[in-house]
Amino acid sequence: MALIFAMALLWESARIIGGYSELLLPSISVVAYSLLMEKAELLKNAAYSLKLIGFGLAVAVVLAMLLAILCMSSRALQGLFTDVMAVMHPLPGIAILPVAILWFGIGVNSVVFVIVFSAVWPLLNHFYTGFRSIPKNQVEVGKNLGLSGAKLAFYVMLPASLPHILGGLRTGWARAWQASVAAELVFGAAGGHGGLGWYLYKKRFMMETPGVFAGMLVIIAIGLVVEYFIFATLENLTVKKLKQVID
Amino acid sequence: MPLIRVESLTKIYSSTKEGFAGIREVSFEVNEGEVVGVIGRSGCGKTTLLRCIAGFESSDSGKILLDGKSVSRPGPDRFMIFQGLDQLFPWLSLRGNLIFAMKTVNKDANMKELQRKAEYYLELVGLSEWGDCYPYQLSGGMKQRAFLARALSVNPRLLLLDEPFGSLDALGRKAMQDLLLRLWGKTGTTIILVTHDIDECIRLSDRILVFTKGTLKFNLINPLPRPRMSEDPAYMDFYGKISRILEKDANLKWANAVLR
Ligand SMILES: Nc1ncnc2c1ncn2[C@@H]1O[C@H](COP(=O)(O)OP(=O)(O)O)[C@@H](O)[C@H]1O
Ligand SMILES: [Mg+2]
Repeated sequence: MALIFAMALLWESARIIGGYSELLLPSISVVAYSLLMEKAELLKNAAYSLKLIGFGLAVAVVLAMLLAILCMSSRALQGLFTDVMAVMHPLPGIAILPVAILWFGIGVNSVVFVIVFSAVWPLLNHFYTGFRSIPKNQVEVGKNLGLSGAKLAFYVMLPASLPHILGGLRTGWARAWQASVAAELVFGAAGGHGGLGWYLYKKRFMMETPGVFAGMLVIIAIGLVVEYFIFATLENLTVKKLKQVID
Repeated sequence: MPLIRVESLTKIYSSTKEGFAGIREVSFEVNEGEVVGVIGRSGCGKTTLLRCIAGFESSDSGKILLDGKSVSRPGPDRFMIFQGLDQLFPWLSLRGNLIFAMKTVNKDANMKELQRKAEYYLELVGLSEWGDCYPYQLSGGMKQRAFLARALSVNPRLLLLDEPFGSLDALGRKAMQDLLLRLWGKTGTTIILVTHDIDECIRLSDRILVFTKGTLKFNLINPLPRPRMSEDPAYMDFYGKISRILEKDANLKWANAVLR
């Protein structure tokens, strides 16, 4: 809270001391007014972005889960994916956009592809690490109780690797969020379809600087809420009990 | 009919000119209610034997019959306590661990009944007050007792214990041995107990299987009446007998000579 206040102070003083025009650096009150006025529009676009991310992330989670399970069951695949991951991991998701456009054309499919691509590698990495870190004894206790296959995975392997899975979701979400805004920004140039990135592009195009700032604030706010509210809560509910899993 | 019957069981991981890793042509029977000790040097195949019986390893040849029926997969009728302290599920409380085990084995059980049984088994091992604790809050000795409580709660025909008290100090070990005997007296569960401690084996077992290098060398009836006192001359005789068998097994005879 103090941090937000300090930043607001810095913003305003920079504006006044630097004497920047409203077009380059609007005052907080103007941005706030624009936030208020454009509430419906912003919400609609935020919902649109989140819907795409939700879908993309879900696809990426399922894909990463399957790949992680495959890696667990085969030595050869394990080597292959370790190499592929080493190459893909440092590649920013948005860098795949040109390829996505070639394959899927301009539109929603490409954005979803970029989201899935950005999220799937960190997810796979975390899931795989998580599965490998499960103590053998716990899996065998599960088997001894008569569990096998999907039941063993659901009741034992999943909770046993939950800290790693949460870590993966956290990174995957951050990557997907960045990539989707970036992808939408690019598509703003190409006809547009919706989403916060597209909103930013549109406002910039029309020189509505307060709107650009309002859009950025919403992007920051969503990032903060997901990071510090959703994930922090999830981790408090589980890691609190699970801290011993990592040791 | 014996509860469990092992016939020419062979499981070999690898073999070289000098020998092999695993067990070969092992045959014995265990009667209902017996405590059978398995003793031998490290690497002689004790864990391999238990894992085969529990169904975690598939044998190369031979049979394992429980109540006359061949077993091949793991199941709660043969419950194993492994080496190591990481056997409780860390995301469940101690009570939760017991309830999860019982519910998994018996899907129709009602929750009230499971709660009651969990309390009963926790009480049995002296952990009543720790039911709400998570595994990381328990000491090594408490975890060992928790393993026993969970194992008994699923009511197995056969309990397989792999050096269960190996990580405890002498006092803790003695306490756990006494506890195991009390539990055995109360539940009458059949037990196969792997150990490398001759005293532990004699104190607990009705019969002792002595393994050397992957083969069952001797199947000895424990002649001593319970409770067994190490000051008893008969105890010392029996101890000496087992100890000599194990010493003969040592590849490095001179090392023992030097130690003496
Ligand atoms: N999964 C395995 N793969 C290969 N070799 C194994 C495996 N498990 C055990 N062994 C070998 O088999 C032999 C017997 O092991 P084990 O049954 O664990 O002995 P013990 O429990 O009596 O110390 C050892 O030489 C060990 O190295
Ligand atoms: Mg062993």
